[in-house]
Amino acid sequence: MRKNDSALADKKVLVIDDDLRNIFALTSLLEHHDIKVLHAENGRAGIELLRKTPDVDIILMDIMMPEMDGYETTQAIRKVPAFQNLPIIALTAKAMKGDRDKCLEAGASDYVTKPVDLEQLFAVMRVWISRRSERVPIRVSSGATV
Amino acid sequence: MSSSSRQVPGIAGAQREEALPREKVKILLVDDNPDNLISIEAALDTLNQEIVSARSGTEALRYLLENDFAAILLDVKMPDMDGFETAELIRSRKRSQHTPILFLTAYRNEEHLFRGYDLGAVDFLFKPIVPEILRSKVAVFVELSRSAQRQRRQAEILAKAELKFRSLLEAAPDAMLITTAEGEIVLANSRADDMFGYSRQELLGKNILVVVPSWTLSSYHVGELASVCKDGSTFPSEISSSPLQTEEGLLITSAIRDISERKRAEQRIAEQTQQLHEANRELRHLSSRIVAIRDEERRRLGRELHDSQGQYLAAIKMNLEMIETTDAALSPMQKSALTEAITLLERSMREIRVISHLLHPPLLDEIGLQAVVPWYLNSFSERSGIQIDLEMPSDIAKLPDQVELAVFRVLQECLTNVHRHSGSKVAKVRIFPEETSVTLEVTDQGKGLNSQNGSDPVMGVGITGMRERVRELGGHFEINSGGDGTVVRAVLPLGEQIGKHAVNLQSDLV
Repeated sequence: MRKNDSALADKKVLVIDDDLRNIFALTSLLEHHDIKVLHAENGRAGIELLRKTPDVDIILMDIMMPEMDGYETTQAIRKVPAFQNLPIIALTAKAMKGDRDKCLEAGASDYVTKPVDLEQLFAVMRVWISRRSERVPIRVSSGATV
Repeated sequence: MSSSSRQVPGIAGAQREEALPREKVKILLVDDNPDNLISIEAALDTLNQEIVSARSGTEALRYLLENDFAAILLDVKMPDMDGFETAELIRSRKRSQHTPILFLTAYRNEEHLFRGYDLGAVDFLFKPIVPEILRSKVAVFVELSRSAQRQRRQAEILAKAELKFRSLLEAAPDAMLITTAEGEIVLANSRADDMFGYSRQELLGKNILVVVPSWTLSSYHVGELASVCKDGSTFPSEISSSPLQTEEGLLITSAIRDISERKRAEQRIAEQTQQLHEANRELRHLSSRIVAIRDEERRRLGRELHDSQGQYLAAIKMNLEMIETTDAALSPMQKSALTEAITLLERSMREIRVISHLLHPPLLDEIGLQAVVPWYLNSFSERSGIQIDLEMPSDIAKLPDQVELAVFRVLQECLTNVHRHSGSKVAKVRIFPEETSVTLEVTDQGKGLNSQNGSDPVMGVGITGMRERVRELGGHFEINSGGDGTVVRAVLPLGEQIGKHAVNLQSDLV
């Protein structure tokens, strides 16, 4: 993997995860590639933070969260017109087919299974960030690209 | 802090102080036992720093996501996520990779310690905590953090200064080369690349003598030296060098400016000035010739009138007088006509003599100013009615012909001006010879030159003629004019001084 990935460098990523260890570990990895990282420990805080910082380039969304899970949070974000095309990558512990469909139905752009394979995560992020910068409308129903 | 004792005085010192306020640093305290947190906080209170307390590894990570700490005091034994696991995560992040971690533990066994050090612990503090030991250990890290902070700020200041310096260097209109005392180029701007045709990499490490062959260390000044491009072509350049004593030794900054264009312009100006000088010389030569030709023409005319026409008239008069004195049978009318003819003839002869003498007085060649000036002034007074006061040694010696002619012509021109323009009824003429020169001074009490200057171009020509005539002989000519009169003064050199500037004109004349 290249350092200072030009497609990802200086991009702003919002990580929403209830486990601070995951947040910290992801932050360490993303920061290593000059990505700016914001975080929220639950869905509600994530939506609140997104309203305050609308220039977020992409969201990494944990699905399994207590109270308000990733599906719910994703649906809530998609309801905001400004965020309809914002890339949201779902992070799901289960690699089951139904789970994946559920993510996309909820409005996620794509998904990556946990434990996260970094190369895969970066590849997916690159695709969605570059699609967005090209202003190509994101088709919510499109499947995983990697 | 030892370096601050020999700080650079003035602005640099002031900036350094300003850049380093005594900010508090943060210390992160992690322990699941609130009693421990309180006692450690109390022990660190006198350090007067900001203490951040966390009850778990998770909470610690939360703080660490947003803050930088001078040190982390980390309890090893905690439920859920223990100190070692927390430390591992802390170490994995670039931002907190080097933050000192001090583990708080009750176990002194080796395996335990090894694991801790392996995870990047800098020290262990064993429970029960001794406040003095805790304080002194943390104090070291506070100081370390401060000095790291200081270094970061200084590095930032340096980087900014460097950036400013670079942009100044790049913005300079001149090629800039910074060299060692031996002339090795250590820094160049892009103007230098363009000017000499080398790439930056080619320039660096080369000796400045490659591009400026006659550059010397001693030339700390602005000078014009030839510069050489990569393709071997040369161009004139102006180089200004100044020395700079640095920690790495003497460096020399040289600003090099291509002055080809200026040199070409200077050359053009020199050529044009030369052409002007030549044209001026030709004009003067021409005007000298005109003066000389006119003199010669007057002399010839005068002589012609006097010698030839005068002789004819004299012969006619003799014949007429002979007829008058013989007893010829003339009628009274014829006799009267004859007498009248003789009278007219006499008047004509007189006038021709005056005219011929004014054109060129023969007395001038034979006797000189001594005879000519009084004669001329008398006849001038008679004709003009202007009263002339002459001051001249009566025994004035014969001067060189060309000087006497010049004095006479200038005198004539001056008095003509007095008569025609000044309105003065009197004039004073002074001629006084000295050892190496003779001075002519003509003073009137007329209305002065300034009021008439524009109205009569002829007089302008007259003045120019006088000036030219005097200059031709290497003399000096001046006019002082005011409302109450005009003084014209001509000083003409004698002896060897004569005609130093003169062009030899005789060859032009027949």
